[in-house]
Amino acid sequence: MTDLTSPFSQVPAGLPRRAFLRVAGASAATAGLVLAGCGKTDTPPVVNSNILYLGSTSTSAADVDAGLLNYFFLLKQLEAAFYQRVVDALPTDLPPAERAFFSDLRDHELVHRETLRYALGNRAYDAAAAQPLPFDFSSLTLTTRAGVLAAAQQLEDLGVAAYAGALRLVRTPDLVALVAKMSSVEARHAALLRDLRTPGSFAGDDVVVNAGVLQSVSLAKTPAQVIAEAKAFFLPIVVSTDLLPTA
Amino acid sequence: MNLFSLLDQLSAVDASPDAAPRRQLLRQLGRAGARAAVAALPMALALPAHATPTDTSLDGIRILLQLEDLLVAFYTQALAAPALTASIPTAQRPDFERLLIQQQNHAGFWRSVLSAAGITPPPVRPASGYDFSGRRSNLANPELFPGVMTNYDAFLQLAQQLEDASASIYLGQISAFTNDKQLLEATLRLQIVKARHASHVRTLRRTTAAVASAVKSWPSKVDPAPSPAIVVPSPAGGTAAPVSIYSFEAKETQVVSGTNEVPFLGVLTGPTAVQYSALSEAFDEPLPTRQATALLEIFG
Repeated sequence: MTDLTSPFSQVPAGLPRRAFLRVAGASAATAGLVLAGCGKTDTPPVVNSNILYLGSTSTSAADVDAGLLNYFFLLKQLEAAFYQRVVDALPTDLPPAERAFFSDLRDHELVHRETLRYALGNRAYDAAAAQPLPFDFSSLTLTTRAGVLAAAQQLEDLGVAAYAGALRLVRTPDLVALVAKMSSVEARHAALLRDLRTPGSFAGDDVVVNAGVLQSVSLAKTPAQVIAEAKAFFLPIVVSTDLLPTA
Repeated sequence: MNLFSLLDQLSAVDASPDAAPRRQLLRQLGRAGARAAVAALPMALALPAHATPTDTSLDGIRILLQLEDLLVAFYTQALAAPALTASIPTAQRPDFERLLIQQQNHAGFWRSVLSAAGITPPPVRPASGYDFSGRRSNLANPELFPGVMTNYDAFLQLAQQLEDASASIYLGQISAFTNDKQLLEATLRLQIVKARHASHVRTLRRTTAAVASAVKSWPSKVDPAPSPAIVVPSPAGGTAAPVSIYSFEAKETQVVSGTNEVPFLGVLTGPTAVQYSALSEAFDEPLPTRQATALLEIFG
């Protein structure tokens, strides 16, 4: 690999067979990444330029869980990077009482991120990468209180819906229990940010199902829906959830 | 106390010559969960065959329904208490109405799961059957939670503890649904709403109570401890003194499996260093079944 444009350009050649970071594409312009538990084949099922594949064609519990945890891990990296950006340059119109919230939010997301990274070990999609995936926050307004709160609420509500939509698919009960404890605090974050923007909107009808058998349970989104909403943050990398389980 | 006993019902069914055997009833419950969930789940395609449900999932439902009924009674009483409602800021009354409606729907969900399984759910008891003073409906008993239905601060403080406990009780029952993905998903999604509720009540305490309390929107070791606090049996058992529900939240270590602990102090250093209090704040902790059951029995 001599690709100097990819954050993963330092991945060494000759990755072990069980490596879960797959760097493909010999040309200098491409870096297709597959996070696969390639138990059966050394050839990633699909290789495209700049596509980050979450998941695996393998249906073993360990591989399914690695794919889903990588999905949660990627979202945590995104949130942690977002809050780091916010606390590094707090909006000047953010009242002092609210500054502490962002310090806590940043800390919690770092704790979550490192918990997931540790749980994944060498299965973390970027375990062999020289640098973490950079995120593109250029679509956000981070210089005003309103802009920061809106963006934070969007990310937290999305994170909550991601857990609601995919945590049940994790096969290892201990991991379900561990991630649920983070999901619960994520929901507390989302409620706080919503209340800061609009008091009383903590569990509004846009984040809680308001009809049918599951009335008043959390809104849930599939990995594909979540990634579609977050795709601007990953550019120029395109994240694919095609290999994540749906049931 | 009209304690709903699912196991009693099941044995009653067994005693009837025409009734389905208990095992069959348990299987039906699994299918009922599937039916209830499939109707509304966009992702529930190609459902895998269910593992055989166990007593555990029924016990989980029993506790969670009992919890929801308690919360419904709490907000029903509160919204009808003249002195209390007079002290709730007008703008906040809809918040409690929302809390009530959502928990009514949660209770309704669990009842529908039981009904679909052919099990008669426990009847909804009148809200007046619960006693949130902690006197257990006996005026001779000491009042553990004075002024809860007359004073907004006292009410909010108990509401915070009940909502935090709810999020934790749901976390504690997740393992009951390991073998039923539909009920597991419902439980996880209900738990999330509990956490949103708990966050909001804490935000209200911090920002609007007459006696402002510097609680965060998540349990924290730097929160002022509630007083009076809900106490539950110590996990140490025996004659150990009862403990606050927040003693469980103080946990500062996490394991990814077995004894494999996340080395927080090793990985959260330098640019990723965090405040020490974040280690416990970042995780809500389950309230074990024994403590959950004890808590539910305090009020009714």
